[in-house]
Formats: sequence, C-alpha cells, structure tokens
Amino acid sequence: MQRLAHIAGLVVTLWSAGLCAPVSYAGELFIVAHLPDREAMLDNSELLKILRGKQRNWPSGYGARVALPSRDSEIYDQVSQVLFQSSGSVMQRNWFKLVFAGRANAPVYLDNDADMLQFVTSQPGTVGMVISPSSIEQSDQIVIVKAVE
Amino acid sequence: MKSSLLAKLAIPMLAASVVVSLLILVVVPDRQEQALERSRQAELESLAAAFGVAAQTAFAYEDLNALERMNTLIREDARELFVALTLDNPEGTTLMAEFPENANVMTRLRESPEDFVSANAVFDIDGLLGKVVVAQDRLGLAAETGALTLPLYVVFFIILGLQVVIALILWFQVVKPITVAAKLAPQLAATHEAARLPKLRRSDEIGALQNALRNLRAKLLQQHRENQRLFGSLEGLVDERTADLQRALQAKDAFTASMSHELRTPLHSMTASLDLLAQNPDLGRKNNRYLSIARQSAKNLLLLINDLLDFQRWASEDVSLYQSPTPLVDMIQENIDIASILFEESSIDFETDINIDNAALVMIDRQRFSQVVLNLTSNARKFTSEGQVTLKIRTQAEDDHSIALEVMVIDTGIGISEVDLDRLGQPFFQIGGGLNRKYSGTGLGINIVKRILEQMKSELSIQSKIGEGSQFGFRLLLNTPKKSNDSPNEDSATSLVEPHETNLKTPRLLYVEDSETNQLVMQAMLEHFGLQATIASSAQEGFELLTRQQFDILLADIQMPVFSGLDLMRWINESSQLRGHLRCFACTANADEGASTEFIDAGFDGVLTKPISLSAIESFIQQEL
Repeated sequence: MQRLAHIAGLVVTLWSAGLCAPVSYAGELFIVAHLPDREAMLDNSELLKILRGKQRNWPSGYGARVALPSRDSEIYDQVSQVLFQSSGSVMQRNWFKLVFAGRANAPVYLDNDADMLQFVTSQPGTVGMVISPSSIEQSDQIVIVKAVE
Repeated sequence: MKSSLLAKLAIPMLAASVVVSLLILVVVPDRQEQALERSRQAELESLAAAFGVAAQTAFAYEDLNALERMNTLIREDARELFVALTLDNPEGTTLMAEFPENANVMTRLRESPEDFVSANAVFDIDGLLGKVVVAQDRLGLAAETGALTLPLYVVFFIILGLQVVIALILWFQVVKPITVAAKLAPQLAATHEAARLPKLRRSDEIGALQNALRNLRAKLLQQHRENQRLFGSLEGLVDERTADLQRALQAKDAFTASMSHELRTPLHSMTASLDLLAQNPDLGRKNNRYLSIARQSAKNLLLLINDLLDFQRWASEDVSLYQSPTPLVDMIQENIDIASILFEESSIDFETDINIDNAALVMIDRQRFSQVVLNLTSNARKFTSEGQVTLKIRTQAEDDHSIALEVMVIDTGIGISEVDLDRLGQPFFQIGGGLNRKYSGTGLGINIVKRILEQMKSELSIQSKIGEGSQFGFRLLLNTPKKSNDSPNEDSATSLVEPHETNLKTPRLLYVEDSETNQLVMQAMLEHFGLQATIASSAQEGFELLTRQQFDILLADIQMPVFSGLDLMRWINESSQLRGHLRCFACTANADEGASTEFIDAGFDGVLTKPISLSAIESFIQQEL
C-alpha cells in the first residue's frame, strides 16, 4: 500500500511536470527593442547581433544595452538556445568572456517578462527578449520583433 | 693650470659631483626598478584579487558590471596589463577569457615567466576553481623605470651644467683675475712701469684684491721713482766722495813726497857735513866721539824716515823691486861698512862671518837688500846690551844660472818670547812696548823686512830664546845675469847710474840747486875730492849757464821753485847742441823707485838720492870721472 502511494505520487509529479512545461516553454520568443532617438529600425539579425554581444552600438553610434534572462527566468535556456544554440550557462560564459575581454558592455539579467518589458521600455537603446510581449504596445520607439534564429 | 685654483677647487668639485651623480644614476634606477617591481607586484595582486571578486560576483549574482568596470580600468590603464581567467574543470584547466584577446597570456607566462611581473587570485565559481592572472611585461616595467629615471638624468645634466657654469664663473670671476694678478706680481717687482693691472669694476673680494694691487703698484712706482731719485743723488754723493777721496789720496801722496823731500834735504846736509867733518884729523878724541854719535843718529834717522815712508807707500801698493846686475862681494861689503857704523862707540862687538863666491854677479835690488840687512842688524844692535852681533853670509851655487844666498843676523840680546814671536812683524808692534817702553823705534822694521822678503820670494826665519839671544835669517835664490845684456853696477849710492867711460881729467861740473845749504855741502864734498863746481840757484840760471859755457857733468836738483830739474832736462833735450856729450844726473830727496825711473825716462843718465854721503860722492867720482 505504501508502495502504491509512492508510485501514485511519482505519477502525479510527472504528470504535473508534463502538463505545465509544454505550455510555458513552447511559446515563441520576441525581441523587444527600445530604439534610440532617430534610430532606424533594425531587422531580426541585427538585433540578434546586439543580443549576442557581437555589435556593441546602434548604427547611429548610440550604445546598445542588452537585457538577458537570469537563471531564475523561465526563458533562460530558451533564450540561450536562440542566441547561442546552447544552454543558459553557455550564454552566461559567453557574455562573461565578452565583458571580461571588454568587447561588450555588461548585460542586465532580469527574472521575468514583466521586468524585462518594464526595463526595456524605460531604457532607450535597450534590447531584450521576452516570450509574451502582449502587455506593451509597439510604437516608433518600442519595437517587438519575433526572434528567429 | 695644474696649480691653479680652478684645478684645486672647481675641477675636484666637478669631478666629485660627476662621480656622485654617476653613482646615483647607476644605483638609483636599479633600486627604483626593484621598488617599482615590488610596488607593481602588490598592485597586480590587488588587481587580481579585485578581478577575482568581480568574476565571482559576475558568476554568482549575474552582475557583470563589476567585471565591466574592471575591464574599463585595465583598458584605460597605461601600464599595458595582461589579464587571464582560467577555470579548473574536470577535464582540466581551461582558459575562459583573457584581455587583450588572443594575447596568449597564460602560454607566455608558462614559457617565460621571467619576462613578466604577475599576480593571481583564485575564487570559487559554482564549485569550480577559478583563477585570475594579472601580468605586466617587464619591458613595460623597464620603460616605466626609464620614464621615472628620465627626470633623474635631467637633474643630473642640469647639475652637471650648473657645475660647469659654476666652474666657468669661478674661472672668470676668481681664478683668472688672481692668475693675472699672480703673473703681474713678479713684473710689478721687476719693472714697475711695465706691469699693467686690468681695471675691474667689482666691489667683491677680487675687486678689493685688484684695487689693493693697483694701489701697491702705484706705491711701488712712487717708491721706485723716489729710490731712483735717491739713487741718483747717492751716485752723485758717491762720485763726490770718491773725488774727495782721490783728492785726499793725491794730497797724501803729494804730502808724502813733499815730506820725503823736506826730511831728506836737511838730512843730506847733516850727513854730508858730518862726513866732511869726520875727514878732519884734528878733531880730537872727544870731538870724534861726539861726531860719531851725530853720524849714527843721522843714520838712524835716515833708516827711520825710510821705514815710515816705505810703510806708508806700501799700504796701498806692493813692494817694487828694481833688480840690476850687482857684484855680490861689493854689495855685502857696503852693507858691512854701513852696519859697522851702528856699532861704533859701542861695547857690543860686530862680527862678520862671510863665506861667499867673491866673483859672483847676481841680479838683485841692491837697495832693498841693504834695507833688509840694515834693519835686522839695527834691531840686533838695539836689543843687545852686551855680547856680540854676528852677520853671517853664505853662498851656494844652485846651478849655472842661480846662486843661493843665506844671510843670518845672530845676537846675544834679550831674546823674544813665544807670545811676542807670534806678534812680531805686525805693524807698530815693539818688544817691550807700552808707555814705559825701553827701546826706541817705530815697530815697522820687521814688517818691512817681511814684505820685502816676500816680494823676493823668500821668508824671514826667526829663532830666539829669552835671555840668550835671537837669530834672524833668510835665504834668497838669485839669478846670475845674462852676459850679453846685463853688466855689473858697482856703485853703491848710484844704483841707477849707468856706467860711463870718460877721458876727462878735469871735468867741468855744473850743480843746479836752490838750497844754499845743499850748495855749500856739495861744493865742500866735491872740493874734498879736488873738484870744483859751478853753482846755479835755479833751473833758468842753470840753463843760461849751459848755453853760455861748456860743461861735462850736470848735477841737478829736481824739486826747485818755478821750474824743476825735469823742466831743465826737457829744455836740454830740446837743444841738440846742449845735450851733446853732457852727462846729466838728478839729485833728489825723493827715494821712490818710481820717481827714479821717471827721471831716467826724462833723459837723466843717473840719479843721486839724497842724503848723498861722502862715500857716495866718492863712488860717483870713481864711476863717472
């Protein structure tokens, strides 16, 4: 009986995990960018360059700032997969190298989409990634682009 | 330059400064590099630690801002630092990141750690060991040291330049003026006019020194001129005094000559008269004794006068010798005759011990020889109260051309003490002298004897014993005359009379003499030998007589008023008619040999020196007539 109780608990746990995860992680990622003044819109690939730390500034020369999901974020590994085709720790190390080598400014790590959206909309020149950008509206400054690898 | 102030002060200072500076330049950079390395090491360790904290923060808290700031710090650092971050994985240590990128810091550190100054810090990242290495190339460190040392070099060269400037200032401001002054100082002492000191408008010590030298020069110049003026006046004074002295000497010579003449002239009259008187057989024993005393006194007086005049003359000149060929036996006999007079009417025996070559003819100053012998004999007589005086003479043939003549005067007198023997011969020294002196005389005799013998290349030997007597002696080496040129002179009183052969049987004599006394004496002496003489009282009268009458012999006094005997001789020489066969003889009281020579040179055939004794007249007559 006791063994049955354990098995039942394990089944419930595995079910819960299988039920919730596809919903949360199966969504598409969006790039949210707050364009600096008079900055022309960039396409997906150029925004990804900024997010990968390969481009430091906007074309106008305005310094670009990157906001990345922290380890506690739900899209931590998903973003890392898009940007570096690897796990989140790889993303962390890559950005560590970039900052260490001085090739990029230090990114900001945020825990969820709300913080991400709030941070991006409040900081011109910032580029971040979210999974659900529906809470904000696009404008001339705030641009939402679907992230394509 | 070696002994200049510059060499003594500035150059050593400069050298010392350079040495010290070089030492500083060598030591300080080395120490500085070491200090810099230690300092850098500490800095790098701090940086590594900071990097470690930043890295740990970045990993642990997802905050790369600290890492960014560190990167900015390193990038902006001028020291060109290298930074590497490694992680120890299970697979091994991997290089996680480095700055600058692709610098291969870890590889280079591993291969050549001595090329770097480095520090590291370890930290933990998710259970993995991370290590941050911060390094700096030593070349960069050396460059930094060089950059730090550069000011030192700059300071060194500034100090060196300052030293050179100081040396130059020292040279131009101190050494050069002093050198100029030092060079000019000897010139200043030697030629005051030539030394010129540069004018310096300086108020310091050098200026004061130069001014002092200029003042000194001015004073020296003034002193020099004053000295020259004084020297000029002194020269004038010396010339004046010299002229005075010469005049005094001339006056003294004139006085001596005059005194000689004045003393001899009356003495001549006395001796001649006494000689004439002695020829009278009717005087009687008592008168004869008085006459003998008078004659002896006259002889003594003559010797005394001769000694005084000789001593006075020889004070300023050497004894002159006038040698002539002389028969030795005649000369010695004459001396014996004269000496014998000294012992007349005396209780002392005068003995002679003569052993000579009777045929010897020698070259000798007969007058000086007699002076020596008579002085010694006279002294012996004076200091002998009883006993005898012996004149001992020997000759010895030396070779074909010379004869040694030894003369000794031996007495049995009072003798001479050793103390007196040492002083004997000093001018005016007399044995038993002093206020109560017992013996008469001038104390010049032995001195004169010594001087004459010295001139004859001989010396006086004296042996004496108190109370027993004395022995004076000398030895002369006499040359014999050459037969062709020298002929004997046999006359004693007329040693300078030249021999003359004449056939006159009654010679006509003219005697020119201003002194009536002398006229009478001469007439008397000539009459004694059966001769007559015409008398003239002056040179003019004599010359007139010569022009009017024929004479064979002229006897002329030299020192006469208005015109002298020399004037008369000159007139005669100027008249060829008068000179003819006339034989002329000077009669003078001037006993100077130089004077006799002067008379012969003037034209006289011979000289008769006053006082002229009867025996001298006899010899003259025998010689000339």
